[in-house]
Amino acid sequence: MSILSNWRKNKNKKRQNDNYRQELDRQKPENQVILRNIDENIFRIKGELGNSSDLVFRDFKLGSLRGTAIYIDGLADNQMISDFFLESISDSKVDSNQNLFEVLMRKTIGLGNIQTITNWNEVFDSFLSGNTLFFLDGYNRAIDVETKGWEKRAITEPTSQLSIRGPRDSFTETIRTNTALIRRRIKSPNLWLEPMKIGTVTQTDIGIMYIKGIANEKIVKEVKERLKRIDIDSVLSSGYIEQLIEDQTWTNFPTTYHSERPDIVASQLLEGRVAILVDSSPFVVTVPALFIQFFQSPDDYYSRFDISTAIRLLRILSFFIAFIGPSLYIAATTFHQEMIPTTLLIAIAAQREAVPFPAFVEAFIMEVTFEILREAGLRLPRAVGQAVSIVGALVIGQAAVQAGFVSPVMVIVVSITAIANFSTPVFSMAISARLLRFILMILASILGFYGLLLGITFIMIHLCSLRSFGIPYMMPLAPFSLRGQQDVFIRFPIWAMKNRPKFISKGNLARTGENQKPGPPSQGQDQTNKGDQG
Amino acid sequence: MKKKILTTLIIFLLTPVLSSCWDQNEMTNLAFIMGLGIDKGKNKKYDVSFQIILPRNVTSGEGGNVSQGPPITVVKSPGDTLTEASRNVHKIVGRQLYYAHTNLVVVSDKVAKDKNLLLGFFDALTRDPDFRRTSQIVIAQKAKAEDILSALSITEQMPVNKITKQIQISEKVLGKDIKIDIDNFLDGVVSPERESIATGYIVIGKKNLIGTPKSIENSKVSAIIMANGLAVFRQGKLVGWLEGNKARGATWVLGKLKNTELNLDWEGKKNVINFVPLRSRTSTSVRFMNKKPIFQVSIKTEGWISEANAPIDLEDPNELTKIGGIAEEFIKNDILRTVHEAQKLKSDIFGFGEKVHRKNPKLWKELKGNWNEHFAESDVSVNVDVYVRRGGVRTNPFWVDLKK
Repeated sequence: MSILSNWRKNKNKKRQNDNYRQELDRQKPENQVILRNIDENIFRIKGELGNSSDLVFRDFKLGSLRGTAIYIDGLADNQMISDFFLESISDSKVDSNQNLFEVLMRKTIGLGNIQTITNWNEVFDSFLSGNTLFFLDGYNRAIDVETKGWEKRAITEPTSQLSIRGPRDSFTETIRTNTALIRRRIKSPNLWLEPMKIGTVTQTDIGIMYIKGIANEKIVKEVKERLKRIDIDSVLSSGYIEQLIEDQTWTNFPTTYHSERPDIVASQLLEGRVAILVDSSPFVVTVPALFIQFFQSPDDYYSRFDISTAIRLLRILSFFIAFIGPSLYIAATTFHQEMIPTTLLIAIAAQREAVPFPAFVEAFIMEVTFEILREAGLRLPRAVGQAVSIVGALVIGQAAVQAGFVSPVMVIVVSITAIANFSTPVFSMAISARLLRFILMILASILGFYGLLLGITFIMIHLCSLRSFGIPYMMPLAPFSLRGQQDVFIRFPIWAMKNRPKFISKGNLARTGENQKPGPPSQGQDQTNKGDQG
Repeated sequence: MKKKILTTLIIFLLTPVLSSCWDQNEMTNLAFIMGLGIDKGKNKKYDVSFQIILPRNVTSGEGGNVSQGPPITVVKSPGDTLTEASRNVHKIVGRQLYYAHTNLVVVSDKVAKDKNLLLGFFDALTRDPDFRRTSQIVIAQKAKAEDILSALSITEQMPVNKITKQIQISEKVLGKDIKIDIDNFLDGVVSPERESIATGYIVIGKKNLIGTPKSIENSKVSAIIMANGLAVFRQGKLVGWLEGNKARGATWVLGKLKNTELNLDWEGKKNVINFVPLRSRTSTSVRFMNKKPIFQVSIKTEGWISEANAPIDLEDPNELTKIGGIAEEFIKNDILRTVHEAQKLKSDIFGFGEKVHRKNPKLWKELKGNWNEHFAESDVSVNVDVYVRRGGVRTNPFWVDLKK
C-alpha cells in the first residue's frame, strides 16, 4: 500500500513540473483580448497553431475594410460558408458610414447561431470546434458563426446490445445526434441537458442529461461534482469518464452502466438515473448502476411478462454457469467424486484416463485457449475472422481431444461456459464474471467445494459492500426492498409496475394511473352483436 | 480500511494452508471399487475381493468404440481385517481405492454361516467415511463371493448394476428377491425384534468359466449368476434358505411385494389360470392369549387375470369371485409355508417382535431374551382378501369358443 501512495505522490510532483502544462497555460492567457489590427490577430493565430495546413484564412473586403474568415477545413461546412457569407459579402453594397461590424453581423451573414467574441480563449474554442470566425480590420471583436459540419457516421443498428423487438437505432460519435435521439423519445420540458467541457487538451463536450423532478437531486449534484473534479488532458471515450467517476476502482464489477441504445438510456432516465453523454463516443454512461440492472435486457420490457421473466431467469442462471461452471467441474472431479452419479463418473473417468494433466491444468489450458481465440477474434480482419473461428473450433473441439490433451467433457464444460457468458446483456458484467472465474477455478482446485464456497462468499460480501453513487449495488436484494422486487427476478406486468424504483428516484414515484390492468369488456358491453348472429 | 483489507486477505490466503489438500485426488489416481466380495481365507481370516471398474472398457473415450477388454477386474487380497486386506491390495493396484461408489457387498455362505466371520467386517464398512451404508448386501450360495463378483453381465456394462438392477426389478415384478442394504442388515442383527434376510446368488452353468469373456461370448451364455432365494439369519449367522415361493411369502409378509404372478388350478386342471396381483397391502396385528402372542397377517390384494387356459366365462362376476377365492387360498398356503419354515429356523425375519414390543412392552421384556423360541411357538394366522379387478384386454378366453 505504501509503495502505491509514494508512487502517486511522485507522480503528482512530476505533473506540477511539467513543462508541457506550462506551455498550455501560456497558450491560454486568461484576459488577453483581440486586437484591432487584423494582421496582428492573424499572425498570432497562425503562430499558435503552428501554421497548420488545415486552417483556412479567407480574405474578403467589406466596403473599404479588409476582413478574414477563419475556419478549419473538414470541421466546418465549406458549402455553408460559401453559400451564406462569402457570396453575400461580395454581393453586398455597403455605406462606409455604417458600422461595418454590425452590418456584417446583422445583414450579411445569413445563419442562425451567431455571436460576438472578444476573448482569445473563445477564439480558439470557436474555430477548433468547427465554427467560422470573422475578423474585420479595425475592430477588437470577432464574429463567431456556427458552421459545424464534419463528416458524420450515420445512425446504424446497435452492434453490441441487440434486441429483437426494440428500436433499431443506436448512438453515434456525435453528441448532438445522441441528445436528439434521446429527446425524440422523451418530449418533456423536464428533460434537462447540461453541457460541460472536460479534457485540458481535447476539450471534449460532455452532456449531463436527467429528468428534472424524477432524478434524485443529490445524485445529479454528485455527478456534476465528480465530473467537475476531473482534471485530465484528454477524454477520448466515455470509458475515461466511467473510470474517473466510479465509486470504487478496486472492484471487478461495473458500478456504472453504459449503453449504445437510446431506448435503454431513455428508460434509465425515466427511472431517475443520470445520463452522461460524451462527444466522440457512441456509448452513453448512466448512473447509478445496480447489479441486477446488468441482467435486464430491453426485450424484457417489449415482450410479455411471463416470457421475459423466464428469459431473465435463464440469463441469471447462465451468468452463474459462466461464473462457476469450470470450478464446479474441477471441484467435483478432484475432490467430490462421490457426488457424481456412478455412471457419469465412469464416463468422465474413462475420458480422463489418457489426459496427461490434472483437471485444473486441463481446465485452465482450455479456458485460456478460448480467451485467446475470443480476443483474437475481436481484432481479426473480417475476411480472416471466419477462417480463424473454424480453426479455433477445430483446435479446441477436435484436435485437442484427439491428441489426448483434453477430455471431451472438458470441451463441453468450456463451451457451455463460453456460450453462457455471452448471454449476459452487458459486456462489462460478462467480462467481470470471466475474470473471477479463474480465481474460483484456482480456489476449487485447492479446496474443492469448500474453496468454491469461500470464494463465492467473499465475492458476495464484496458485492454487498459496493456503492454506485451512494446507492447500494445489490439494492433491491440487499438491503431488501419488497417494492423493488417488481423488476428483479420476476418482471411484473407493465401495469403492475406502478412505481419507479424508490431507491433511485426520490419523489414523483407514480408511474401508472389506477386500474391499468387490461381485461375483457365488462358485462353487457360485449362486442359481438347478438342480433346479427341469429 | 487498509488494515481491514490486509487482515481479510491474510486470513483468506491462510485457509488453504490450514486445511491442506487432504482429499484432493485426480480421477486418474483412483480405483473405483464397485463391489466387495468377502470369502473365508486360508491363512488369514478373510479373502477380500475388490471389483475395480475399468472406465475405459465401460465407455469409450472417443469415437464410440468400446474396447475389447473386460469392464472390470477383480483383485483378491487376504487379511484378518477388512482394512488390512484393502491396504494389501496396493501390492497389486497402483491406484487409491475409492469406496464412495461401492454398491454391492457379496458375502460367501461360508462366511455367513460363521457368526464371528460375518460380524467381523461390518464395523469397517460403517466406519469408513467414503463407504455408503446404502450398499446392498447379497449372499453367495454354494459359490465363492469372488465368483459372483467377477461374473460378467450380458446386458449391463457394469456387472454390479446387473445385480442391483436385477434385485430392484425382481422385487418389483416378481417379489422373490429383496433389496437389503448394510443398514437394514445390521438393523436385523442388532435388534432383538427382528432377524436379517438377504438375497442369495448362485452360479449356473460352467462354474470354471465365470469371469471370463468366454462365459458371455455366445448368445447362449455358458456361465452366469442368478438370484436364488433368501438367506435367513439368526443372531448374525446364516441358518437357512427360503427358496422359490417361500421367498415370495417372506416379501409378502414384510409388505414389500407389489407385483407377482400366481399359477392357479381350475376345476381339477393344474396351473391353468395365472393371476397377477397389481397392488397389495399387508398389515400384521398381534393379540395375546395366556401371555402368548398370536399373529394375524392380513393381506389385501387386487389384480388381473393374465392367462386363462380353460373355458371360463370371465364375463361372469361370480366366476371372477371364484378365481379370487382360489387365489386367496393359494396365497394363504404360500405364506403359511414361509412362516412355518421361518419358525422351524427359529428366525423372526418378519419383525413380529416389533409388533409385540409396541403392543405389549411389559410382556416384551419377558419374551425379549428368548424371542426366537417364542416366535417359533407362536400361532400365526393369515387372512387374504383378493379382488379380481379385470381380465386383461380380452374378455372370454378362446377356449370358450373352442368348446362350442
